[in-house]
Amino acid sequence: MRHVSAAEVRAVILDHVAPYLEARGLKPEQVADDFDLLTEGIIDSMGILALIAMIESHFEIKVDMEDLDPEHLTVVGPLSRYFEQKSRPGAH
Amino acid sequence: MPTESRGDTPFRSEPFLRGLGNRLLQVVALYAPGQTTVRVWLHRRRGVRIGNDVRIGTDVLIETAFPEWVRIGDHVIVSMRSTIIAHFEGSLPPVQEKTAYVSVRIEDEVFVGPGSIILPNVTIGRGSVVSAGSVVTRSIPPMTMVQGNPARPIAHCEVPLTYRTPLKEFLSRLRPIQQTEGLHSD
Repeated sequence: MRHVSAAEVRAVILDHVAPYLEARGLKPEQVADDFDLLTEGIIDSMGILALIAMIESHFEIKVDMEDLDPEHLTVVGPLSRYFEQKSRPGAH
Repeated sequence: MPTESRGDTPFRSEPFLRGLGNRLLQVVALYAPGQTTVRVWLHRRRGVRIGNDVRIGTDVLIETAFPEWVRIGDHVIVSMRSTIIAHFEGSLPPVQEKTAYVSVRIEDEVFVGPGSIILPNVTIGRGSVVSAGSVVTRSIPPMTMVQGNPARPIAHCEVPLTYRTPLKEFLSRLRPIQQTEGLHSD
């Protein structure tokens, strides 16, 4: 497992949901840090599971999300930073 | 009471007046206000066995002919336009077993999503979640989220989805089931 930056995770997240952003007329660079993918209609409850699994697979990071604030689960910035933190050497 | 035989299963037709009353109550329950009060009371009057703190959404259809074969536990949410079917013609239980017979069991803290269909002879385990539009054809283990037609397990739930549970907290405690795990052999 290598250390990944929040920007890398953000790019992967936004690439994953790009068609749905486009349907909303949004480009990835227009997505704010506090953009909530769930409440903005980009992903549904199943989509968050797929998104987390995709990030885990892409970066080979395994997370249990117990220490992630549920309110941040679907928010681009905090979610990206969470995976960055989890990719640090020695992080659990 | 008229009795006839259909194959190996003795069949007793439904008394007309009782059936008419059941259906009238069902029709009123479809759109009456009061998801925790009036609708629940109407379905209990029909014979559905319903626990405490249950929410029944608009346009929910619960077994027309044999409502007493449906058992719903405590803190259950049955969302709008769901349908619960407790019998198929030709697969009825023997007459002598009809009083205590239960075809559909929905255990405590189950969430049934909008537009779901629950077919006869299934148990939905405690704390499980049926995603919107799913068709439940087989029993579901406790604390399991299912989706699709036929409904298949897609995640383990660490917390039940009750009306007190924030959606994001519920989502953060879901654990996806691997593709090879929990699939039925259809």
